[in-house]
Amino acid sequence: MNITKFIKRVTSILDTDISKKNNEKKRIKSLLKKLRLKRKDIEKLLIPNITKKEKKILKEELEMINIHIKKGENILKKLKMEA
Amino acid sequence: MLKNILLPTMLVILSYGFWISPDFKEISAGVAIFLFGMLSLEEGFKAFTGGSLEKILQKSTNKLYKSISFGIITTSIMQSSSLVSVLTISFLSAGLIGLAQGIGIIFGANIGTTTGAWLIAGFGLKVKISAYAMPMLVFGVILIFQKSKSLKGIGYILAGLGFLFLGIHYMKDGFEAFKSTIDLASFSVTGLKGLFIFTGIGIFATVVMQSSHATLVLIITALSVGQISYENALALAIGANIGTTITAIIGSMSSNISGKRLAAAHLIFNLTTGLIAIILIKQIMFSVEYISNIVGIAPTDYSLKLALFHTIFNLIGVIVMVPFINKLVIFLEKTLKDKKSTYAKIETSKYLNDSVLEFPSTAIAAIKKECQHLFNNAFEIIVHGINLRKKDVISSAPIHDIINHTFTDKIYDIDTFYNNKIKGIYGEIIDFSTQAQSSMPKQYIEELYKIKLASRDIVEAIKDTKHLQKNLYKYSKSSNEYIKNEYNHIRKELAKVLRNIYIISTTPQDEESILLLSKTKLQIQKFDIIANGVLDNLIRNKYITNEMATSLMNDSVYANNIGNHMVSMAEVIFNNTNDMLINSEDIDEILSKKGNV
Repeated sequence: MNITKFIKRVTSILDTDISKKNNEKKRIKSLLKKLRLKRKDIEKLLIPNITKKEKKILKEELEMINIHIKKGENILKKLKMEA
Repeated sequence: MLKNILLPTMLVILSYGFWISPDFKEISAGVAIFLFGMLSLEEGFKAFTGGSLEKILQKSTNKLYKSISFGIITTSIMQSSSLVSVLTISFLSAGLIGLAQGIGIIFGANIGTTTGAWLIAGFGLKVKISAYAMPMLVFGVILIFQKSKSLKGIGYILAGLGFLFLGIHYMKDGFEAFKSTIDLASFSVTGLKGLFIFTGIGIFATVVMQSSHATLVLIITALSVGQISYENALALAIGANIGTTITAIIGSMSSNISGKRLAAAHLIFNLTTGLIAIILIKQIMFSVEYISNIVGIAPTDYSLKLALFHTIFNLIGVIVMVPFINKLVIFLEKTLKDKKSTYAKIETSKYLNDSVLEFPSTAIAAIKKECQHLFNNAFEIIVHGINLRKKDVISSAPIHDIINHTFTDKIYDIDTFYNNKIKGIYGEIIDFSTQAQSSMPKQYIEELYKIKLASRDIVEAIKDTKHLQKNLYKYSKSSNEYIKNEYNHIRKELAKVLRNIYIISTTPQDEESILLLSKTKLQIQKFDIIANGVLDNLIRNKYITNEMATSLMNDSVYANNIGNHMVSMAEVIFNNTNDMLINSEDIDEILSKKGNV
C-alpha cells in the first residue's frame, strides 16, 4: 500500500470529513460572536453628536456587519442540517 | 553632470583611437562583439528559465562537488576556462544558478583548464573552437527567426557563442602586433625577482592574447628552445592562470551584479592560487619531481612537468579555497552591492516542492503559500507602478499625505520587475498546480482552480498597472490641474485598496479581514468615475480635453480592474469565509440606500 492510499484509508476510518465540518461550525460560531460584538461597539458609537460623514461611514459598516451575520447564520443552519 | 560628460568623452576618445590606430579599432570591435555575444547568450538562457535547462543546471550544480565536477567536465570539453566562466556569468545573470554554485563551476573550470596544458605538452594539440564561430552565427540567426520559443533561445545561445568567439578572434588579431614584441629571453632572471617578473609577463601575455592556452603554447615553445628556464616557465604559467580572469571580467561588464560578483570571485580565486603557488613553489616543484618519477615522466621532459605543475597548483588552490566558499559569497555580497538589488535575480518559487505532490492538502497549502509570495512581489510592483512608496502604503499615514511622496521621477520599469519577480513564480505555480491536479481527488480540484485564478488575478493586476502607468506619469506632470487631480485621485483610491489588502494579508483575525474585504469592494464600486458622474462633469465644463477624457475613462477602468483583481485574489488567498462576504447585489443595496447609485 502506498502512502497516499494509506492516508486515504485512515481519513475514511477516522471520518475526518465530519471533524472538518465540526471545525467549520466552530469557526463560524466564533466569527459570528466577534461580529456581534463589533456590531454592539458600532451601535454605541452612533451617538447624536458625531458628524454626518462619520455617521454615514458607521452606518455603512453596520450594514455590512449585518449582511455578514445574516450570511454566517445561514451557513451555520446549513451545516447543522447536514449533520 | 559627470554622467552626461562621460559618454560623449568616451565616444570622442574612441573615435580618435580608431583614427590613429587600426589595431586599436580591431581590439575595440572585438570587445564590442564579445559583449554583444554576452547579451545574446543571456537572452538565450532566459528563454529556458523555469524550464528543462534550469532543471539540468540545478541538478548538476546543486551540490558543491557537482558544480566543481560540472566545471571540470565542461572546461575539459570546451578547452577554454574563459568561455566556461563567461557562460557561468550568463547562467548567473539569467538567474539559473546561484553565486555559490557559480563559484563551484569556476573552481572546477580551473582544474579543467589544466587538461589543456596536458594536451599541449603531450600532443601539441590545441582545440580551436573559434573555427566554429561562423557556422554558429549562421545557425544561430536562422533559429532566432523561428517562432518556437525554445528554438529562438537556442538561436540566441548559438549566436551568442559565435559572437564571443568572433570577439576573441578580433581581440587576438588586434593584439598580434604586441605579441611579436614579446621576447621572453630578454627578461630571463633568476630568484624571487625573476618569479615575480615572469608571473607579471604571464598575466600580461594572457590579457593581450585572451587565452591562457596561447600563453602556455608560448611558454612551452620558449622552454623547449631554451629561451627561458624551467622556473621562469612555472612563473609564466602562474601568471597565465591569473591573466585568464580578464575574459570573465570583460564578460561581467554587460552582466548584472551577480555576474560581476562571480568575475570578482574568479579573480580572487586565481590570485590566491597564484600567491600560494609562488610561496610554495619549491614544495610544488618537489611534488612535481616526485610524481614525475612515479608516473615515468622523463627528467628532461619539462613540458609535461609544466603541465603537472599547472594541475597541482590549481588543485591546491581549489582544496584551500573550498572551505571558504560561503565566506567568499558573503564577502562579495557585502562588498559588491547592487544599486538596484531587485534587478539581481529572477525569483523562483519558495514553497513548491515535488515531495508534497502526493498529498493534496499539503500541495494546496504549498500553492497557496506560493501565491502569497507572488502577491508580496506583485504588491511592491503595483505600489511602485503608481508611483507610491511601499513603506508609506503599509504605514498608517493619512492617504492624502502619502500621495505627495513619489517613489521615482522616472517611469518605473514594470516589465523588468515582472520578468524577474513574477513571471517565473507564476509559471511554476501553474506548472505545479497542473502536476498536482492529475493526482488529486475532486473535492480539492475546485479549490486548486480558485487558487490558480487568484494567481492569474495577481498577474492581471500588474498588467493593468502597466497600462495605467503611462498616462499616470504623463498627467501627473500636466499643467491642467483637473486632470492632474483626477490621476492623483486614482492613486489615492488605489492606495486605499492596496493598504486594505496589505492589512488583510497580515491580520490573523477573521472578522477584521472579512470586514475590510467588504469595505474594499464597496469602495471600488464607489470609485467608478463613469458611474458616479465625475467624468461627465469634467467633460461638460470643458475642464479637460477629449483626449484627456478618453485616457481618464480607460485608466479608471484599469484602476477598477486592479482593485477588483486584488480583492478577488484576497478572497481566495487570505480569507476563509468567502460565503459570508458581501456580493455585488449587497453592494448595490447598500449604495442605493445611501442614494449613491
